[in-house]
Amino acid sequence: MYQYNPIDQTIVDERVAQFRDQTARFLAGQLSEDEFRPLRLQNGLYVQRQAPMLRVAVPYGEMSSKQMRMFAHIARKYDKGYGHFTTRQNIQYNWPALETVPDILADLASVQMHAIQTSGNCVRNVTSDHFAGIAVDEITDPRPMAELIRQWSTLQPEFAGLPRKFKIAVNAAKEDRTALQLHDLAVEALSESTWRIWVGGGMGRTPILAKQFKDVSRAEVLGWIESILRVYNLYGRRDNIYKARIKILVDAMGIEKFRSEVEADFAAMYRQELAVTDTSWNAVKAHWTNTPKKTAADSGVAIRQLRADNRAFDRWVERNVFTHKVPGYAAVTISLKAPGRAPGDATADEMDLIAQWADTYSGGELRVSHEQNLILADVPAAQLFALWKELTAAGMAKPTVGLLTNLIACPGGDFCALANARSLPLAEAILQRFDDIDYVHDLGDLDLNISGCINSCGHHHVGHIGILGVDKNGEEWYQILLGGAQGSQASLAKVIGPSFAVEQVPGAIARMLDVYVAQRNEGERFLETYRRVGLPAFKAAAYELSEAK
Amino acid sequence: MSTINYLGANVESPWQFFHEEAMPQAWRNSGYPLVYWRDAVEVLPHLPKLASRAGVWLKTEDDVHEFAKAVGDVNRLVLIAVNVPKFSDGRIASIGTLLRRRYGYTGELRAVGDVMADQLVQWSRAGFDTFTLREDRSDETAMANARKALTAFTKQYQPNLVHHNEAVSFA
Repeated sequence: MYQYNPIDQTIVDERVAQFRDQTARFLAGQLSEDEFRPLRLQNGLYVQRQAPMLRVAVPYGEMSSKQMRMFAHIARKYDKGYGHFTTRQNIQYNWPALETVPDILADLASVQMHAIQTSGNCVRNVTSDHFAGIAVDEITDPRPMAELIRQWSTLQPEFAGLPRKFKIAVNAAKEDRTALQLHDLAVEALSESTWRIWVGGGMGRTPILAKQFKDVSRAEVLGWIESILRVYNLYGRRDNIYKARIKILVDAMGIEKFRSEVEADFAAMYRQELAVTDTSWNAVKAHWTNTPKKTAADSGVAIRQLRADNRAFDRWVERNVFTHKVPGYAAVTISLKAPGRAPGDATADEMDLIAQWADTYSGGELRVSHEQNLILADVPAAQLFALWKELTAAGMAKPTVGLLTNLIACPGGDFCALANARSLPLAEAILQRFDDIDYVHDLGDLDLNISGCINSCGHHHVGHIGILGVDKNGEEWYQILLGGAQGSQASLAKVIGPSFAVEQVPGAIARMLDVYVAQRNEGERFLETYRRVGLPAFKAAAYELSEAK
Repeated sequence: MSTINYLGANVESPWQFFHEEAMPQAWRNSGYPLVYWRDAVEVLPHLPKLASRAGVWLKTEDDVHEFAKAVGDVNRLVLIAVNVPKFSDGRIASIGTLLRRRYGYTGELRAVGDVMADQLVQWSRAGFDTFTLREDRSDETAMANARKALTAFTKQYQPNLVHHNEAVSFA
């Protein structure tokens, strides 16, 4: 993985010193709350319902076991002993005290980590494919491009006060595992030398799929991103927070006009210093050297026998093990979804355990997935069974990747000051109701996403089933949406009708699943049946009996 | 009000700031008028002849391209100031960048308005030379903070615009 050079380290250390000074001035009354707000936000610090919330960057989701141990240390020393992995591949702490945040940032800097630009109106932490470097369908490794964007965007002086937040994703595989069309800007590899830029996607109050902007050479990617941001910075709306994202600007101008504005800027402003030369590209690429190159000893026969003998292991391999492009290796998803666990949460002890597994089984590195799970990317197939036994003992082997109970949920009203409704009790109710593993496996691929408010951190717009918390006269209600999808066939979900009380939601979902089971053709997934059968049949089932309940 | 430069040094400023449409044409009799560009738009190309030392200011909501076109050769101006209504208004940084790089402005570029210590480092890197700090953020402590803020970083990822200590190339 990427290792800091002295420049990276100096910048991060100096950022800690800068924020320490700013925090001290705020606590001494020299900075008002209004003046301090953008400074703390761009260091990852929100003021939330219970306490400040600190969001720490995991650049494109990749980290070392040493960094995971630091997360555990921070959870113990400064928080309440746990952390929450997010849909943007970051980690959030819900209970730090404001005055300790500079110390937390200093601890993070000691392991090449930071919280820079994880919130605020700036370019946020760049996200990418959690199977980068190992996926069979990979065109090229997305991480060097993601790292170059990280460097270019970090403390970029021109774009520290954008109209609104700006999220960038990088995908470089045939299948899109980054939800790229739901980003303000996405960069997609067509080959190692040609990249497609997408612009103007996003969720939130007005979900819009990104539009194709232009196919450009690798050398010019940063130059085009800079010109896009300049046009957005100057012309994006600043009068209304709900209309300030780039998607609104692109929609208002039209993609053609937007493109020609950016082209005019690029023609006048592009400079050679921004070019990603072969030299700099190869220098960045050289950081990813420890992906296994050689085929591991063939263990196919042994694995097949173990799967035949052990139903639970077989299911786990089927669902939570992802094919590695190097034969003899596999990527393993550590599930952070189970009844009794808030989706994406891990305790400090679990983080230490996971770090240990990374060291033992996967070259000391791991990933955060945007489905709020963790991934060991380079596990020798011969060790899968041993790892599975350890995961099972620790409660992190639910074989549910891609299934209903791999549900995604934001922290919701229990923690977040923005939320209209709580997400976690509903997630728990659904996890408990659908705890029958045979039934959930029979349902097959199904994405369920819960957001506690319109900001859509739980990505409800792209769930096959989406749930959105709404506020009705101070009470929590939940809208149900159907038909969203991420990936290469992205689509936005539609609201089926009036919202439900929390206790009605699991039943409504169960009845809609009955419709699917009754109507599905051989091999047809929920989303496909929904697209074929249409919304009315599902809607009728959802509202049936809901009054009797 | 106090003005400092990008190195944190105090700058004596003889400039007299004329509010938008405050006193039409009043600036003509001033030695160092700093006038809103639209108030002088018909004479902008000849401004140096009308007042030996004349500067203009623009708002962050103004179209910088329109401004540059109206001026013609921006280097006829000895001072361009950008008035930022709110410190979080990041348009000022793109305006500075465009004036420096697209229009080749080499004269003094000044930030005025809601200007405080913690934005100086990025605005300096976006091409600004001088900063007139907000009235209530100009006391001894605030000035010391501003000077300190300007030196917060010794390294950077992005290429330089002007007057910076060290360029850093990627990777």
